[in-house]
Formats: sequence, structure tokens, C-alpha cells
Amino acid sequence: MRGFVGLTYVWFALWFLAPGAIMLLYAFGHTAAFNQQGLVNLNHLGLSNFFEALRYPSGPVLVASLENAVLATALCGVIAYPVAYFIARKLGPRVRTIVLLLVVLPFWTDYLLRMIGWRIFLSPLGLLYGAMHAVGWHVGYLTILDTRGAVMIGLVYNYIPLFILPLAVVLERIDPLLLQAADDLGAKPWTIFRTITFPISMAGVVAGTVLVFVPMLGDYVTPTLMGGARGLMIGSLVASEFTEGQNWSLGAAMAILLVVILVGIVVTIWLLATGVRYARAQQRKRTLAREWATR
Amino acid sequence: MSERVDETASAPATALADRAEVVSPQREFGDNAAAVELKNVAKSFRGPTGVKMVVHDLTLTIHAGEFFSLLGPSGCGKTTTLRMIAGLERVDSGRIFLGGKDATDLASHARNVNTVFQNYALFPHLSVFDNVAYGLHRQHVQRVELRRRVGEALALVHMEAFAMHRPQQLSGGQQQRIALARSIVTRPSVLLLDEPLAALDLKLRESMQEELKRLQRELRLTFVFVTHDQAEAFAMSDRVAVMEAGTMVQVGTPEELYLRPATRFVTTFVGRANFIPASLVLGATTSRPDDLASRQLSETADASAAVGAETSVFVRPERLILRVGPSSESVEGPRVRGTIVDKTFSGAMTMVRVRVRNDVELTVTCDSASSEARDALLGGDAVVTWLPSDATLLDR
Repeated sequence: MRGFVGLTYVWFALWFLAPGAIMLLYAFGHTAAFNQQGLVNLNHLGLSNFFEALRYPSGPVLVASLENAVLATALCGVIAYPVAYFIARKLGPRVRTIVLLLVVLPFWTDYLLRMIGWRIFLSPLGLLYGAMHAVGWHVGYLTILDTRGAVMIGLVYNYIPLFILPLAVVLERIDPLLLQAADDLGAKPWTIFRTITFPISMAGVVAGTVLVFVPMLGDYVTPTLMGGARGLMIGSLVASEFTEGQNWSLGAAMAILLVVILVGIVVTIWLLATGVRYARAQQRKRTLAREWATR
Repeated sequence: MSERVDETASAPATALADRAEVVSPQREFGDNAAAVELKNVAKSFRGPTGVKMVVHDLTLTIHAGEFFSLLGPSGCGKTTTLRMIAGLERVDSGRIFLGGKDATDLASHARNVNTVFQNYALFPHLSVFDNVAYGLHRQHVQRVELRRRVGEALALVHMEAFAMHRPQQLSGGQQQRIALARSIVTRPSVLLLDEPLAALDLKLRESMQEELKRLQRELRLTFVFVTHDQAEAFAMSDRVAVMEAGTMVQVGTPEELYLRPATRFVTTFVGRANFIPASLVLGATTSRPDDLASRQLSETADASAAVGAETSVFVRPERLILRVGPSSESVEGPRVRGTIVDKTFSGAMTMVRVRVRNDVELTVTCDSASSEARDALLGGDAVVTWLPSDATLLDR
């Protein structure tokens, strides 16, 4: 058993840490000349690739990608919360299992097939156009496809199950007795949600956010398929540097930069939240010590 | 709890009870007013095996300021009754009055009644302070006042030092105290306790029993306490209601329930019991195993019982008197003859089991130092006797 656990570390090191280390190394090198061996020249290591990655076009694309991912994650959260709440709280155990199954059902179909399905649905004279026409809403033709809006639809559609699932699990696990205790202590239904259900469900919201935001930021297939040229995200640029561009060191630098930004965002938020909580607790401790001592 | 701690604890308690705005049950409704009244309350649940009647036509009055217990085995409907008083469960029919006002249709958050839940139901994402402050926040108590009252409530249960802890960091007994503080801090007119001590070990349970009694006395609150533990109910309550299968069998003081149980269920649920099968003869009862054990039982017999009716004579083990050897020949009054089949020594008392008929065995407790305890030998003959006034006639 111990040997097996050890094996998983070897596996992890081989397929995650080692490639990561190679990427990191490549990011500091530069593209090899035609007459040199290999693709990356590691003779003169430097930060030039990172400066290059922050310049046009990858810099603005990186910012746009961050905007897209933040917006799409927020949309996922806003849509997923009521859905997860309904699944976890309003459905019986049997129906709940079936509905959760339906939530992940699209994953059983090929990804490209689903995306092409969306393209057909949203195409200028497609299914959605036909449906709108049928109910008397006349538009010349639909212009959703190949816009940022289409990218947003694609991202939310693809990633929302990853938000719903952890959130539904957390919401389902909240002991109904806690809600009864709050009710018993004089809290009205909305207050119970605001003070008990929502704060406890934050664990699920955080899990959902991380699960959705991280892969979304690196996604390059959905933006390309749904947004065309206007759907360019940083993932697409990284991929093209490795393929068409043949500039592995620049691609590696972009990828590393992405990871650094991600980790930076998460750590900053965590530090802020912990700091604020700690400061408040200390403040209260002092107040209580002062007030309770004089009684 | 040491004496010293108790003294320091009583100061905030008095402060809490004496303040003018305190809703003291006595002051609000007058002495002996009903804090809780149930009138013909019924409740059923739809389960996998069909509709199950959980509470049956229950009528009950709980006086202001009294420590009242609902006692019964699991599934007897006592917790459901408590939850209906709290407003966490709707009644199917009947009315519920709180402090004389009809509260049947009030939601739980609109009732001035708080509950201590069996597993405490502390909010895991809030500190001890915020848990206790929860009810005060709902009443929009202003900050300084809120901090003072939370402090008082925590002092009352000796948990001031833990204000900034999370519930998960506390032991079961400590969580219990926080749950208690959380529900008394808002000064409810009635405090409902759903087997609050069930999860604690014996020693902690005993000290919490004392603590609960002290709190109830000092705060002059009405406590409604649900338990399946007869000793616990007796140790703490002013009055106890025994419930069986959704109905109330008997209400009374612990002494009444123990000495004058109304039904066979009460006798078996409350302490140990002996039943001697008998039939009623001319207003007197003859116990079958020995026809001599007859006449003076008439004093305890229910006058309305029909002659010839099959009854049981019920006597507590410590009220039965064991006679062995020569002294057994000269016994006066009711008595039965039998064979000693078991003898168990348990410190101060010795339990002797006497078989008086093939299917009837009596348990007698006697002083371990007595000659009877010494002379009672397995397989030996014995006479069991009792004072007529210690016997009760019950339906078969």
C-alpha cells in the first residue's frame, strides 16, 4: 500500500512537475537559430520573453482573457447558485440524483459536436432565428456568432456543471436543524438564507469558482469555435506560439505568466479575507476584554 | 461545579432576571398562569408505511415558571410535541396557546419560545460570541447592549473565556453550554429542551442536570424538557408527563408517578415493578398464588371495580418485605409464599427474586445487613409480604 502511494508521487512528478519545470526553463531561453540543435536555445537565459509576453498582441489578449474569464465565472455563479439551491433543497433524493445526472449529461457527447451544435443554433439564419421568427420577433439576421457574447455563451455553457456540482453538494449537506435553530431564534426566511445558508455555502462557491475560472482562462478551443477572430484568448496565443509560431520559449513564458497571475489572484484574495477576519477578531477580543472586565 | 464558581455565576443571573424589561413569566401572566397550553392537539406524518399518527388528541397545561418534563420511550411523540410548541412542526388539529394567546398559526420565528436541540445545532461558521448573539441581532439589540448581554449569558454557563472560539473547537459539554446560552440570552417565555444531555457522558450529565436546575430557578423560566430517562426527569422536574404511543398516560409530580402510577405502562417505565395477578372478591382482592394473602388489600382497591374482575396488585421492590426461616410462619396481612431463585448483592441493597407461581416472579430489595438478606438461600422457601398502603390495584 505504501509502495503504491509512493508510485503516485512518481507518476505526479513525471507527468506534472517535470513538464512544468521544463516549461519554466524554456521560458527563460530563446528560440534557437536554424543552424542550432533543438528548438530552444538555453545558452543565454533572461527575462526578455516575459516582457515580450506583456507587449502587443499577447498583453491585451491576456487582459481580455482575464475579463472574459471573470465575467463568465460570475455568470456561472449567478446562474448556478439558484439551480444548485433548487436541486439541493427543493428536490427529493431520487429526483435529485436524476437531475444531477442531467446536469452532467452533455459531457457524454463529444465536445466539438456540442460546440458545432451551438453554432448551428446561433447561426445568422439558424434555429434560434427560426424560433424568434415563429413567435413574431423579426430581426434581419442574428449577429451573435463570432462575437464576445458568443464566447461568453460557450464558456458558461461548458463550465457551469463544474460550478453546480460542488455547490449542490455543499448546500445539500447543510444540516436542516441549523435552519430550524435560526428560525427558532427569530430569523425570517430571507434572514436565514443571508446569515446561515449563504455563508456556509461559500465553501461550494469557492470550489466552483476555482474549478470554473482556472480552466476557463486557459481555454482556447471554445473562444476559437464560438468567437472566431474576436474570440481570441490567451490560450489560443500560447497554442499558436507552440505550433505555427515555433517560438516555444515565448509560449512557455506566456503560460508561466498565466499561472503566476492565477496563483497571484487566489493568494491575494485569500490573504485579504484572512487578514480582514483576523483583524476583526482581534478588534472584538479587545472590546470584549475591556467591556467584560469592568462588569 | 465548586461553590465559588456558583456564587460568581449567580450574579449575572440575577441581573438578567431582575431587569425591568425581563419577561418574567410570573409577572406577565400571574402566578400559576399557563405558559403553554395544548388543546386536543394531533399530528400525523406520512411515512413509507402509510400515515402514522404521532400525537393523539393531546391536552396539556404547563404552568409558568415550572420545570416540566415529557417522558417516554423513543417514538412516543414527545419530541414532536416539543417541536409543535416551538412552531417547527404544524399541528394537524387542535390549538396551542402560549402565555394565554393562541399561537397555533404563528411561525417559529414569531414565537417567544426557544429550543435547545439534541445535537445543539450551533452555527459552525460563527464564533461562540456570534452564535449567542444571533437571537439578539434578530431583535435589533444595539451593539453595546448586545455585547453586555452576550457576556452575561456566557458567564451564566461559565463560557466567557471561549467567546472567540468556533463551536468545532469545543467539547460536547461546552457546546451544550453554548446552545443553552444562545437560547436563554433572548429571554424567551418558555425554553424547550430536546434531550439536551443525551450525548454527554454520565458524570457530565449529572453536573449539567444541576446546572440546568440552577439556571431554571435563577432565571425563573418555564422549562419543557424532553427525555427518555426516568431518573433524569425525576431528578429535575416539578412535574412529569408520561407519554406512550402519542398519548399522555399520566401527569404528576415525580412522587405521584412513582408511588401512584395510573397504568401498568407507567409502573414499568418508572422504576422497577412487581405485579401479583389477582382477582377482586367482594371488594377485597385475593392474590392468586396464595389465597391467604387477602383481606386488607381492600383498603387500596378501587371501589368502582367490579367483583370478579381480573386485576394486578402492584408493589415496588423496596416496599416488599422478605421473610425467611421461622419468622415467615407468623406473618400477618397480605402475603405470598414462594421459592428463592436469585440473589444479587449490590452494595447497600441486596435484590432477591422469589418465584411465587410458575410464571410469576417478585423482586424484593432488602438491606444487605439484614438477617433476611443473609439467610436468603437459593432454592429456599420464603414469604413475601407488604403493607396494604404500599400496594396499588392496576388493570391486568
